[in-house]
Amino acid sequence: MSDLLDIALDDLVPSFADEQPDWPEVVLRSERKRRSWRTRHPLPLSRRTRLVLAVVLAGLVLVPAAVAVGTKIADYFEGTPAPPSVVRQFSFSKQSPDDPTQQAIAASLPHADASKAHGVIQEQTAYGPVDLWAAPNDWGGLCWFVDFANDPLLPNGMTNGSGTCDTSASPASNISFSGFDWNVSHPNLVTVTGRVYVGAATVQLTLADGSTATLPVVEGLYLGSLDKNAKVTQVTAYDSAGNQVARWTPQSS
Amino acid sequence: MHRLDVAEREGASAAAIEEVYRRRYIGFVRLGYALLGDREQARDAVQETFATALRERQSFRGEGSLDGWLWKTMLNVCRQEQRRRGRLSGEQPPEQAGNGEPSERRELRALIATLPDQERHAIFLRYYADLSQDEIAEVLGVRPGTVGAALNHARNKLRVALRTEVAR
Repeated sequence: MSDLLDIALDDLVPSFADEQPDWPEVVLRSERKRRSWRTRHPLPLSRRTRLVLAVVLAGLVLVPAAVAVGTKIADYFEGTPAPPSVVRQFSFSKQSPDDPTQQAIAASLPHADASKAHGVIQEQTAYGPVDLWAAPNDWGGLCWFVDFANDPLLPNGMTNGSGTCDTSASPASNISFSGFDWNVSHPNLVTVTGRVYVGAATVQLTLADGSTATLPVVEGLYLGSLDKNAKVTQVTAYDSAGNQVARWTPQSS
Repeated sequence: MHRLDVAEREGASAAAIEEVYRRRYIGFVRLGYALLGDREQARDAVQETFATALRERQSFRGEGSLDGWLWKTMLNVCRQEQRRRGRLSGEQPPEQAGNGEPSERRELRALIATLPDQERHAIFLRYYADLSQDEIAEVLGVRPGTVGAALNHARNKLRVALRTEVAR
């Protein structure tokens, strides 16, 4: 910006320097439009499922590919206090936008208690550790968030990851499931996560090629990393005695 | 332009779209304001752009950059809003109705409004979205040389107008 014209043009539009992005509202808006399009062909989604879809903080569900990536769980991770970048992420949905419509939307969603954000599961992958963080929310449920420990922070100081929230409402299924792809930063992986609503010690993912991957359940949550081409056809939860306690099958399977 | 690694057959990932949103949010809002002349409508256009992109992300074929696809979507969303506004009343955008705005700024704004679409959009994408000539060419679907010419024409017209205004 050097000459009079540059200055005048720059002056024509506010800098919006204090403007804060609101990604959850984007996700919600996208999902609302998708749902309105589906009104003539509604999918039989439960209230919980709809909520989980709507409140996804960063990524949307994707279900992919063939062979489970070897996973190694770090057992010291549970209870680790969340770093500021993760706390900011949990606080993000609580920021109050100026727009009354957005305020109404924000008020209709669960808000995490970021002060209670803590580590739940850390798993080693080819890209370094992937962490699952969780915090209770004001709807009696949990918000949980996944990121890679070694990823650089975003310019706004937040961590690049994906997450979701649920509520205390009775679940339609005793297992929730979400898959997130990482095409930009970790193109060969899909991260799967979810919550088991009955006492469980492990979940077993069954993949389309017939292979399985067993993941531990910690605080009701599980975390796994799959090859990007893997397709999960079933999730089964087991208690510590090895008894099956819940099962979930994707609608498309 | 920051080229994102997105597989063609899969469309754009939600994470990739979110990354652009967080990285370029201010630029998108400024472009929205330049096109629509209203803060709230600018913010709304950005949200609508990314919600549309998220919903339609499978249609991204990876033939150009994801950034370019999103800027194009933003232009389309703003055009739709301008058309809707034109159908409703044809009135000026609320914040550009001239109330209390310095006359030089009003003059410049009025002059920009008279530029051909391609020149106006090139100016907006250059100054408010901070895109390079090549990036603007991708968004507008023209050759970089055409963008260079459009920017030069537009700048020359606006400079002449500014000098005239200052000399008064």
